[in-house]
Amino acid sequence: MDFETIIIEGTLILKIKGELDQYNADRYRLRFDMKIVSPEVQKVVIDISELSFMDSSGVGFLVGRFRTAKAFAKELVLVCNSNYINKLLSTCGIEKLIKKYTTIEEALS
Amino acid sequence: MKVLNYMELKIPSKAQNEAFARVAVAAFVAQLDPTLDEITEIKTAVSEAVTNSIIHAYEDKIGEIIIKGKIYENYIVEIEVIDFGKGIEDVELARQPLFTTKPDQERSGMGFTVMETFMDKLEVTSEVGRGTCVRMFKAIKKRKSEGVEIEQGFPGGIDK
Repeated sequence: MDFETIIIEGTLILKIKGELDQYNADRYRLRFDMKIVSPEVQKVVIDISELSFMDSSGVGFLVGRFRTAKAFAKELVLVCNSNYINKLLSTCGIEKLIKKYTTIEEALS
Repeated sequence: MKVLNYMELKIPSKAQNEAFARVAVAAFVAQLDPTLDEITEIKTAVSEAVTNSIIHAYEDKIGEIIIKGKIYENYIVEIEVIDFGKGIEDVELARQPLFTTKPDQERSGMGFTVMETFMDKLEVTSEVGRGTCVRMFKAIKKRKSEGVEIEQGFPGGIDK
């Protein structure tokens, strides 16, 4: 797993690539939280469109980052256009908790 | 059902082996020429079962996980994930969506639900102090146009 960070006018975009499983969730949890709590960040967009694999540990990871953002009164949304990951997210009932968009442009507007 | 092919894999319960286990199972199932969705769903289910063994069955110690794969006639795949860890006290409760014994560790409690959703059948047997066996089945759609004839390679099948 790897990720790119972009900050546009107070919005932090975290684009995750590769495989998000328990092993990677444990490795990246703290690094993501450090970026999310940064004072210059008001809103967080996590783009998971380019993940090649994710399981329920990855879902737990996303919910964890959502809770971090919420604890610091920041909005966190997801961008995902992968059918398989969307199926996983809806199986886990994530759409009720975290807003999801199909493109970064929509998430930013 | 006649077994046409099988495999067995033994790995220590290290988190880095999650990726290896699911890719190995995917490579085994690939001979049935599944769709990318079917492969990904099997990989996800394997990942959930192996993660459970690592996180819950063995917790802070390293134990052995055995992964068995079988291909039956009619494109049926069976995957078993077996551990010799602490076992599950109440399997029915553990299979409930959102149930987790480790909410503090960001566990979603959706592992068994994901296995059930992505596979066609799921059986969980467990004994406290002895271990757990997760047995999953999935029917791969036969794609005649691709000309896949898996039975030709194993006349009569394998009795196992």
